[in-house]
Amino acid sequence: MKMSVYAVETRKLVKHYNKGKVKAVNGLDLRIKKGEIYALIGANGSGKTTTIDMLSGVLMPTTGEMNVWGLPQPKNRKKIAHYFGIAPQEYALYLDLSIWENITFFGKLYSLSREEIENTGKKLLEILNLEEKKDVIAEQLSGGMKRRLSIACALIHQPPLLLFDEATVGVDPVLRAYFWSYFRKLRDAGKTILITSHVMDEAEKADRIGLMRAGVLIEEGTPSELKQKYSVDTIEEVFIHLSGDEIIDE
Amino acid sequence: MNERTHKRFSFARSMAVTRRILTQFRRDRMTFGMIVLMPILFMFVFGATLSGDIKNVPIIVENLDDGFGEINMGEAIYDELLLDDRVDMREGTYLKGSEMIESGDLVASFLFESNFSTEMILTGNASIKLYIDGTKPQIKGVVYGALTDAMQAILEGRGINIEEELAFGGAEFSGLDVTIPGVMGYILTFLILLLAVLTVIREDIGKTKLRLFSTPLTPVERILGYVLALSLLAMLETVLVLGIAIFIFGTVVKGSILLLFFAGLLYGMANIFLAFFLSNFAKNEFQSVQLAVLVAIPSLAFSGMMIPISSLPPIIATMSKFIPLTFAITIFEGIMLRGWGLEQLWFEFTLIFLLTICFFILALISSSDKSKD
Repeated sequence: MKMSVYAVETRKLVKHYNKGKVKAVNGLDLRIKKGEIYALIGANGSGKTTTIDMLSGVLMPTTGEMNVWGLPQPKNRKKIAHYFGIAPQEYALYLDLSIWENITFFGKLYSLSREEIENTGKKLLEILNLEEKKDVIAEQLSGGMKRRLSIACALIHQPPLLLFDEATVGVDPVLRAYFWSYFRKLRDAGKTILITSHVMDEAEKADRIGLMRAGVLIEEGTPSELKQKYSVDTIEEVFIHLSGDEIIDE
Repeated sequence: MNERTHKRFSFARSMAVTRRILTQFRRDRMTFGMIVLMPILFMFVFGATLSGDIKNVPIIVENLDDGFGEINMGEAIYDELLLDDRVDMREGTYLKGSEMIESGDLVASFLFESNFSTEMILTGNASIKLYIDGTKPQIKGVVYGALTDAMQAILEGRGINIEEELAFGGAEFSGLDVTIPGVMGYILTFLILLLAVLTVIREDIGKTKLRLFSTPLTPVERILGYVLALSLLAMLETVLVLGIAIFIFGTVVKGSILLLFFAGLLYGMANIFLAFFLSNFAKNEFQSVQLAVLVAIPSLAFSGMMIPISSLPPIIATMSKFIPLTFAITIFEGIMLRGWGLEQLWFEFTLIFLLTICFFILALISSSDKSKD
């Protein structure tokens, strides 16, 4: 395996639907360094989820190249699967299974031993404050708890790369703050995190930000670099500045 | 992460899928109830309605026969019919009977003329007047059958004597016994298809399928996991159907019960793979039920379960040869009614086995682990 400083690297990545009528991703060049939190920000329909789906090997690109953890995707998709954990926009959980059963199931898919699942699973339940609910059926959980469970399932095999699609959207401010502090702890432990969001102020908490619009990256940098470059106080203002008068929700 | 995680094929991953599906079935009481109760319901409904034991058909026989000497053949036939439980003899005249048929209260009305015995004995040619409701050929056939048997009984060796020798069947078989193999095949078709398609489609609806695609789980491992879980359900269904047939309906199984069980399981697996393939065409639970019905109805009509294939129009009879249930029923009937084994049924077994392989390949080809654009 080639050693690369990038956890994720895309070159001219394109995904067109409907025989080219819908251009979800339209020549994306993205480089995410290992050990950073990268926030891919954009309005609904800007191509964030399509990008995540292609990076995770679920969706095949129309054209372009991408490397995930140094390996060409989708050629090595089943091998790459071990290097990342994903928390999709939808919870994508088995609602008729308990919290522990969900975690165990995903752990088994990554060929973890019972002992490994026990050890990592218990730690995750403790960190994500789900310990007391471990035997509760997922269907009975609140939205925030389902989100936490989804993140636990993404982390059970302790991958070096985490793909969080709108992971903090729809959760209460206290939980969101907790999530970000946890994400920073994960980064400090050496993990790379790619998080998508359409909430601009979220981006301020990331190490680097990529602003996405109409399937391409329109700006990139650290939060302070971007604010300084456009002489504004918030990332939202940067985005509005770049979008001009166009309608944001695409 | 360690080296073993890069294994191309992992049976443990398939088993994780199997365990998960079985836990989900256990939790879903409605579906679990369906798995247990549906075979019982099907057996009772189909068993009772398709058994072929038509009884108590209401008829009137007016006997005006004066007899010939001491012989009164009209009276003798009348007495024989009284003992036959296929018909229910009502009091009345031929004319009253005709009126009752017109109003739908009676099926047949007979009249033996006063010279019936005389004509029969002297000329060997006598007539019976019969007015009969011809709308239901099956019931009409029962009436004719009862009359023929009664006449045969009173002729006591005179006239045509049929020397009957049964190849299969006999007194120990009821109409229900001969129906059960077909019902068993139908249950294994409809229920297994329905359960399998619903199980696969549930993954789509919960959006968990895409998440699975992003894991190391391969399509072969996923299908194997599903098949193991659903095969256990097919086994449960086969045991239930056989148990109900043998212990509740007292069905006679002349051949090997083990072979019958194996045949049921093999056929169940063919349907599981077929369901996997079909589930690619369904987007929701409603569509998946429609697909199961789409396969089940032609199977019901053309497999010889309800109407013998020889009685079907030539084009339909040809179509029946492309319906797996046709061959499954041949196997089930062969084992249960005729006591056949692999020696006689090798062709049908091979065919079902090849179909299972064929459906497996179709399931595998159509089961991508990538999102559809």
